[in-house]
Amino acid sequence: MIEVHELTKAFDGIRAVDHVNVTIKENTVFGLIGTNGAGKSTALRLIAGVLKPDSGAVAVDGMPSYDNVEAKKRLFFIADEPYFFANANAVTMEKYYSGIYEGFDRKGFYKYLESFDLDKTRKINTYSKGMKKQLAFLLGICARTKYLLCDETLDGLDPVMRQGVKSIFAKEMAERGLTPVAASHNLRELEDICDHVGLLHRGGVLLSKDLEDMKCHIQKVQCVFRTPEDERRAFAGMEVLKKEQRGSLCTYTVRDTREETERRLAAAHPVFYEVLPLSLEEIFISETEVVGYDIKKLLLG
Amino acid sequence: MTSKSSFWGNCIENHKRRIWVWVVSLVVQLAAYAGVLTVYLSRVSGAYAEGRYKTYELYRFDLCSAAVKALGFGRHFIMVVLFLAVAAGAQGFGYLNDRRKVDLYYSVPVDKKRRFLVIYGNGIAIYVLPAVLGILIGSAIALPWDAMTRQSLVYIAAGFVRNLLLYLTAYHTTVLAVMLTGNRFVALGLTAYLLGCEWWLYGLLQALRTAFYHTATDYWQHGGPKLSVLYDYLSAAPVRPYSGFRSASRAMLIGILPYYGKWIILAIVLLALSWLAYCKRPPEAAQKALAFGWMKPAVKIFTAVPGALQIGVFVYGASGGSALLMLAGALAGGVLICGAMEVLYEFDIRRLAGHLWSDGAALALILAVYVVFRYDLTGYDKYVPEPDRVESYAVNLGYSELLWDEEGHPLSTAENGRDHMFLTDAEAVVKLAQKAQKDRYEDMAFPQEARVLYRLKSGRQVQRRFWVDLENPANEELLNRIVGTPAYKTCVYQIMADSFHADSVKTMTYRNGAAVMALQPEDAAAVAEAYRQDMEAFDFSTMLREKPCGLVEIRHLSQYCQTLPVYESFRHTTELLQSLGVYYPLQLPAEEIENISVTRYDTWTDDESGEVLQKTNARADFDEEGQIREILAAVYPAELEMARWPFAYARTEEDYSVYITFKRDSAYPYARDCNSVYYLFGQGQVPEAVDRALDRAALQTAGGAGASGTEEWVWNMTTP
Repeated sequence: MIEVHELTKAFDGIRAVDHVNVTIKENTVFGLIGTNGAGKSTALRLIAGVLKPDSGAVAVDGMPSYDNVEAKKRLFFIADEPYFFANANAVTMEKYYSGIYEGFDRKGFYKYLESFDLDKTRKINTYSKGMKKQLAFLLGICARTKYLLCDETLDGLDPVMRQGVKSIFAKEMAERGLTPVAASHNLRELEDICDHVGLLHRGGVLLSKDLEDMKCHIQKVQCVFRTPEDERRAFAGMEVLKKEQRGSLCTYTVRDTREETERRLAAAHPVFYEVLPLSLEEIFISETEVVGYDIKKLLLG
Repeated sequence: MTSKSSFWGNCIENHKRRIWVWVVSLVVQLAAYAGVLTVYLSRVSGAYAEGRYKTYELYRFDLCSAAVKALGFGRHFIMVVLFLAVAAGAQGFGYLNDRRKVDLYYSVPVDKKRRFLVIYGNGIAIYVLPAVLGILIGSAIALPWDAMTRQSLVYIAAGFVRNLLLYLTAYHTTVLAVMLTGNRFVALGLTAYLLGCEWWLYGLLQALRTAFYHTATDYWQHGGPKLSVLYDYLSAAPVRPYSGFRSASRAMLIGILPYYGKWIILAIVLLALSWLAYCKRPPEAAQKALAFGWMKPAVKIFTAVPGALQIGVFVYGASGGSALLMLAGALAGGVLICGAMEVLYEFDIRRLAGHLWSDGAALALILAVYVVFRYDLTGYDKYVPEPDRVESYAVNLGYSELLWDEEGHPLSTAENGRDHMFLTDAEAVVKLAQKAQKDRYEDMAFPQEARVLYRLKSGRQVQRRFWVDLENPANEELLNRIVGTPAYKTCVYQIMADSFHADSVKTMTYRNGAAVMALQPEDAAAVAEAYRQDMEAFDFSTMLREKPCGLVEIRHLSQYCQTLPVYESFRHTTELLQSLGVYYPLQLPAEEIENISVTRYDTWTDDESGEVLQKTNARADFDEEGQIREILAAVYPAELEMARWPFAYARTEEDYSVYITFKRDSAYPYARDCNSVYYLFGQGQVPEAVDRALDRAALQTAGGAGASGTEEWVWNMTTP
């Protein structure tokens, strides 16, 4: 488990990460989302032990990550612009990393290279940006560390590659309990990959929640009531996040389980009611609007 | 098998990242050792083929010396070593200046300390291994030339240690510069600054002293920067081309060893600072100008203040010594440098006027330094030491001649005096210095600059200059107390020193300005002995009242030449020369002269502007014996004037030149490769007849038809 407590880091007086508290549980895919400048990269670099926190702490399985070899053995950090040695090819990089990470899966690496159609003898500086990301990702996977920190590594992958990445995550998580942490500025990039999402904004965490949990605890309800009194009675005791009304049709976003919501609505005998599924985007909109942010502006453009 | 994650595994992995530095080091060092050695050996062997060596032993001596120089003590190593040290340091730790590389190296599970040690150690290996290979290959080349002995190897090893220490200090300096900066160009700039700043500041201080203090001089070049390895390396490298074992051992034992301890301490301190900076360096410093924000104002001020003062010194020189313009230039330079530093810090031209408080501090410091020098707040010019505080001193009264050291290598007058002149009668020189503070230069009949190096009993050395009136009778006794001392004469006239070896004399001649007589090298010892006897009575009064009647020129095997003035009062020398049949008196025999040609350089000055408008050379030839006798009585050989220091050319008519041509069938032993010999009239000794003849020639030049544009007319006395 990676525990981030009151983590703060400033550059030239500007706080890039401001008292961040996040817990990354094992064997989940953690998505870190935020706009450009939100502090995602800084947060990941702090977790990876690249940067030293000004205050607060990062604990990787209970160990501080900065200047700690034991903690770093459990981490692999893929930067937003991964560095490859001059004139290196995939083999060169494999040799380097297999010398650094004792458990590096060489066979698996070359197998993945083939399946991703990456030429192992071709110089990396002739690769496209996407290919470089893929190579960095494969190196990270094959390092067989417990945590894989990806800074915008998954952004911009084509659907086939996305599927490939998802299946590799699933396989590695199942086989050895990999915990990927993926940062992105685009919510949609992470929607189908992550189990847990942390939303960063201006250096701070707006929310950090389990996706399923979020989905289970936020419901969108369309309903028509006979009287306003019925309507009031139906939602009394429920946390209403949002309400829209068109004529007599009301659309509520409430924080509760589906069963409890249905039970409460049924008890109020509405003319009509329906509990609708919410997309991740809608969940985020609801959650962030509650705390006064317009998520559309932040992440969806 | 070495584990990949072991220390050696990390070393090997690091070497892979530094292939190009290895290749460069290998190529450069092979060229520096084997290439240079081949050139040196070929040169010596060429000289041998030309018959410049009397014996094979001498030839081999030089071969071995060349090998020692090429494989250990050559000055070319300074460039090689510096280049490689900077390349290895900047490349090895350059990853710290690249955020992408920092992300990689700081995220992988490699201990930070181990990474430093690996890169640092490899940086040394990059220099050492190719150097050793170069020495081995060089030795293999030298062996067939018979240019290598066991002794040579010892000296080569000493040279290797010296170069290694230079490498370490330069390498550590570069590493420190990289640690303190976040940009490779800034790192290189800081490296150059750190390596050269003390030397530069020393020179700047000297320039400011020279600009503002009347008594300032850097003639003796004593002291110098205390911590500059480059300065030490260059100043403590007395091994010169073709120097021998004695020279190499001297270099090693006297010249270099004292520096080794200092270099080692300096290298350790620099390494410790580098390590500290490495540990404290924030990873986010990559791509910034300076790694530590708190350094910015300090670096700015330490760059701006000396930089501005240097600009001020340039302005002072260019403006012909205007102190006000110097201040203006320094302040303007300070503002510019402060602005440039701010731009450099942020890589943003809009930051030109950032942090004005540090600009103000820099300008205040510049002003303060200016005031200290301008108004001599330290009392520099007033300083004259108490005689009883002076252990010894060296003085130069205008004498300047290339001298030589014990090995026959050239030595400047200043070096010679600094290292070999230890006069103890400080009262004489102190009195002269005190008198100089009261005397006005304008009132002096024959002002001569005296440059003194006081060696105080406290161990401090102080150099000053002042003016002495050589023709002031009040000074004669004091000057005799200086010039007449054996310590002074032994230093200036090296034939009197123990270092003079008669067996190293290759050729010897005696000349009186016209006659050139060869002496046998075997007579060198006798000549030296006679000259030493004569020099016992020699003092300033001799120089003041007498003129040399001839010169003994001694050329050594090492090709260095020594010229000794012979005065008519030098009875032992002149008698010896007479007995050897080479002495010819100063006075030339008129009957041997074909003619004498006198040229006068006349100039006309414009009354209004004061400018010289035209220069006309008037020449007259004289071939009548009476005229020749009259002229010969008034002239003095130009060749001997040089030996009349400090009165050389001071008592001659500089507007006249006299060429004396011998008869074709003359038996006089003048130099046959010249048609004539060059003489000068003594002051006020130009015969009236000569001037009249020259006047006539000048008149024709000025008034003659078609004279315009003609610079020279000839009036021949024999042609009416």
